[in-house]
Amino acid sequence: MEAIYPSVITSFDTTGILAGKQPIYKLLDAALSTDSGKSEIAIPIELYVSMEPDLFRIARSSGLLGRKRPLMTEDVLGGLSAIHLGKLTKEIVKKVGLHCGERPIIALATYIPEISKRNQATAGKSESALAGVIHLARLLRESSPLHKVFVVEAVAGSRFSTGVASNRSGGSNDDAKLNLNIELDEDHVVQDRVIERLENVVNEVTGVASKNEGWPTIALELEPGPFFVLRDFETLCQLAERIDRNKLLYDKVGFNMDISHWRIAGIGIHEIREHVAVADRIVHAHISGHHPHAHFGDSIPTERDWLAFEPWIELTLDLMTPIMQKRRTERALPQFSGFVSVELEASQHADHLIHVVNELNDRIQKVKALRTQSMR
Amino acid sequence: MPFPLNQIDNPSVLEEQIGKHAIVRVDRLCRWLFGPGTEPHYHFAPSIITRSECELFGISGPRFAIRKYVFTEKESEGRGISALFNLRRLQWFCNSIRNAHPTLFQEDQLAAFADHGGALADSLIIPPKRYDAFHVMRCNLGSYYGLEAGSPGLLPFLQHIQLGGGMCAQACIFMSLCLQEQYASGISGVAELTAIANEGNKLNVKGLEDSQIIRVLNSEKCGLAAFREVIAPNWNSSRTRSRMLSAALRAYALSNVPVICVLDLTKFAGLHLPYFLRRWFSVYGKNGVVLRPRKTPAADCRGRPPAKIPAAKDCKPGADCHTRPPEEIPTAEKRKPAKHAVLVVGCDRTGGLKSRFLLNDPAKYPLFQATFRDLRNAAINQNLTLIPVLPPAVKTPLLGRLPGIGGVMEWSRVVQVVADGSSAFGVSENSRHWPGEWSLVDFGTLSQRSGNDNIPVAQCHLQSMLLEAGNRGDLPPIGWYWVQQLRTGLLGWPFRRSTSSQVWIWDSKADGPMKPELRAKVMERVVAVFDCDSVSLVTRYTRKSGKVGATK
Repeated sequence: MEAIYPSVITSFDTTGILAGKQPIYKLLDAALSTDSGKSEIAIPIELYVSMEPDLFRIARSSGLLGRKRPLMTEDVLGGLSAIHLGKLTKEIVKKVGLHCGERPIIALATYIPEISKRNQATAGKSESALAGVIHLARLLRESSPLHKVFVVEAVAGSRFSTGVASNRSGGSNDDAKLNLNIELDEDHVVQDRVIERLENVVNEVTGVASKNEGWPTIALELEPGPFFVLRDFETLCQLAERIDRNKLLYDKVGFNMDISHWRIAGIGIHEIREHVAVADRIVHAHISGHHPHAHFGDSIPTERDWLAFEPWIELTLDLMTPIMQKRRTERALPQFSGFVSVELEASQHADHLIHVVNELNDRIQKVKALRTQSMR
Repeated sequence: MPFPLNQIDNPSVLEEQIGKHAIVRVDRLCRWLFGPGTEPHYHFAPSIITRSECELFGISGPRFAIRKYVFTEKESEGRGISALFNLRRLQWFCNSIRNAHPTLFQEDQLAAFADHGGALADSLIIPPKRYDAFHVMRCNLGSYYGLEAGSPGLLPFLQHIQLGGGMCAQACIFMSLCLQEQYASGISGVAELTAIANEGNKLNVKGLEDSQIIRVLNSEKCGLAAFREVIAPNWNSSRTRSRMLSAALRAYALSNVPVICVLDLTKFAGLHLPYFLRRWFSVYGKNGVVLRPRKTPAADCRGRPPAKIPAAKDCKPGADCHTRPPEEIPTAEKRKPAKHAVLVVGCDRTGGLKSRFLLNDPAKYPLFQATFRDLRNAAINQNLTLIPVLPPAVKTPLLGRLPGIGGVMEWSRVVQVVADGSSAFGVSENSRHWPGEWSLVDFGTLSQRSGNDNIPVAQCHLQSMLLEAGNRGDLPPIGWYWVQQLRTGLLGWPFRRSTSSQVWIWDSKADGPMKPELRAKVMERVVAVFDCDSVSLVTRYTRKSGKVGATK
């Protein structure tokens, strides 16, 4: 019987995983119940590696400090040597063990929209940063069989192309202080660039393009909003087709189905099911409550949200069926991770997180039970 | 035990990330709004605005804002939340831009934004007690900001910064979208609104013209209805025109329809006046906010001999003197109005000649009080622009809109004042005060509305009357309608007595011409007329027969 499990993305805590000291994980485990009573499984975590205090700590321990703050993800993670990455792996394993107890790390999450920038220097750092995180995932896998880091998440980048700012010299009668003009890239241009940058990342990590063992899949995340490369169903399909055509990325890149983002972007479950090129590339999922038409932030899902989420949970279960897994293996497509991560970025209260994880677990059980019933 | 997350205990973090000056300005705003309060709490928190600002420049941080929770002591409930302000991490944001786009801005430009930019991103406010006499629009977005479900309605507010991708107009649109969130097809951040206004891939980050504001609100991405209210040319007396505009503005405010008001910031803030007069003759001053003349920025002083540095008193704000010394500005430009958008978010419940409105000014503070005369005095070239932001189904303006579309007030004048329409409904002419009080009502949600839904007291009576009529089958079950209350009393609007007389229900979906001779057409817009005292139907227009038929 196919199964999926809830997990938690650590971005709920802005103090970071290295600097934070939250006993919340034990509370999470205690709160999670199963059919046969309390769960004995520790809730897996998805490690968000772009949190500012963590970046500061990494930069300090690897001698990158001295740069002007703020420390951006690409500056810190893009500047790590193999030795530093090894040290960082040990520190993460130690801290996760210390603060979170023995629990699996199933994914690493990043936020590096600079990867699609036209500026080569910035883009180069971003490529190195993403490559560094993939290295980190591999090292974590090697460090313990517990940490089966399946995916490394990345936003597909920003459309910002160029900007010109000059002091205003009359003509405009509002209170603008500058003449500020910003140009966005055309979709086909920036998509080409993203593909090229991902190829560079893959080449940087492997050195040999054909090797695939020990690889986490790169999961591209859709962000709603006109300034993102991957922002709606149209761009999702376009990128899926580009990846399908690319020999190097074909088996290494998929999509993170952030259910709230996809819903805000107006994507319906039937569209995904109909568009196999997209469905076949879903390698991981996120879930959180959201406003129907706006990205105010992650919230606690309401009962109406949960009802709307059920077909999405069913889709993730479908992706874990033996038939689907076999199909993906035959076509050399990356597999679905088997986890749906609760994402409550910068949450205001631990209760909220515990409640949502518990509810997700119940909903998964409910959908599974309904499927079993209908199969009988 | 569960515990709060992401709290900021170290005040140095605030100073380092938001900036010293910005914190002082936010504290001043809190004191202005709530008086001395309890110790605020600070948390890192998500924000749709700071996120969109990062999106614009394609930078990874700071996506999260610093959220300030303000608490006040409440008589009955003890300590309660009064506001949450998402604060921009201005210092961090400017540093990020500096890192990511080293050549885009000059150092002094970024420094000016970091020190003088508005710190308030998307914020929610419970209006303090001193606004109890006002009807204030509210939205139910609290749960998306982590507040308990069922928390009271909150007033949205936002300060704009140009680096955030837009100016006052976009900030007003954002606040309007929040207030109309049930009907909007999407709520976008400020930068995204600029993208909608610009269309295509080139963004000119500046304020929006009236036509652009209307286009953005009517676009598929926002999904609302907006137009500029235009008063019919046959209202030739300026006094009457003002009264009509004031009545329309009040009707919108009482109907929870935010109105974007475009005026001259210079006059509004009193910047054209000598410093000592600003307190008495400007909206800012009357609300206790007196702007001091700014010192000329260091950029303008750099490299000049001391004698050539313009003195602060020579600055004529609103005419770009903040960035250029006055002698470099042509006289014509000095006189140019500083176009500025504010949002009308409420009005006092009592009404009358000196009826006051509440305004959210994205350049400064929320909940400024101003009379209609204040607004008219701050108008650009005596031409006050009002843009109501309506649910998409509403097509009929109150006064009128271009090109030549008559408003429902104009229609009512045709049948109730100009012609002998009143007598056709069994009420003698001049026995009531015209145009009465107007409100926009969704009949579909009448039964679901409760006292918690922020209905003005006067409308509670109207609501029960309409419900009763609806139950009898005298009203359409769903749809938006303009409801006009005509009260009997002494001749001459706006004096009124409490005894009500008639309620007219007007179709809000139709557009009509402004020509008074088309009276028959106008009558098609009347859905029903009720006698308020007996709560009975006086007449109903029957579409089948095309005649007005009295039922009583």
